[in-house]
Amino acid sequence: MYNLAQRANAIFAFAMTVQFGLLLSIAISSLYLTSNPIGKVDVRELNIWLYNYDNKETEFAFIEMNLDADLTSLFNWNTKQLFVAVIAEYETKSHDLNQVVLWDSIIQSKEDAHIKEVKVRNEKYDFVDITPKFGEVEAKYSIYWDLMPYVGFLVSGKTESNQTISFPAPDNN
Amino acid sequence: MWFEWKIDFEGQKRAELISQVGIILFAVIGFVVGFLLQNLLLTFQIFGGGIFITALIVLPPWSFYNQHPIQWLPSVQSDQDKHEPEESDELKEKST
Repeated sequence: MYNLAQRANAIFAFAMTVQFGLLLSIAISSLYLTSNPIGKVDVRELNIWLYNYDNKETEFAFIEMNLDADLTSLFNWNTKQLFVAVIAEYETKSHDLNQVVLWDSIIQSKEDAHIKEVKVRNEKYDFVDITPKFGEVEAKYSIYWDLMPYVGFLVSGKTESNQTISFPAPDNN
Repeated sequence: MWFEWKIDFEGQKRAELISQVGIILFAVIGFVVGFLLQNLLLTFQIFGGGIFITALIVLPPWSFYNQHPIQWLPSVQSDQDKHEPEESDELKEKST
């Protein structure tokens, strides 16, 4: 603190220490902010078609659904963006938990956080099982979200759905 | 050096206190205001502005940092000062 250089150094070093504390308190306090995201996946249609994939007759599922979700409460002062995905979950005899992404989206502002999509199809991703056939399964469809903050920890969650849909028999043979 | 901007010991104590209190205060204000208005950018604007203001208060040698100049004892004429400095051994060796 004797001369200009020492005072400038002392202020800068102390400011960086305090800034780290400020970032840490923002990161930790953001974990305690409450949110109430709601969402619903309404499956309108589910068809299964058989195609040849890797020289095996494989079941491809085609889904059409309506999405209605309100994720605006996830936008707090420390939210940079949301990654939202519709995921089908089901159980088969060989695998206890199967998750297939059907649709996803990145939401960058609170104004866009009210999702209302109709007739969404899984055009971007194939809906296939890890084995060639789904078999007798009942799938559950949920909206998963990942909150990416400006400072701090990635937070994930999902809006539960109770609707389960049995897979129909393949349409073509 | 004209740009050294020296301050006395009491002034250094005061400058340290002001800088630490100032920076922490602006950090707390920034956090509270940013949280209430839900604006993270505002938090760092307040914090950054606070560092700038604190630097303006602490960096220049304002007169209130130089209110207690050091009172040196009057200089004493010692025997050594009158002595002429002798040539060192090293120099002697080099010259030969």
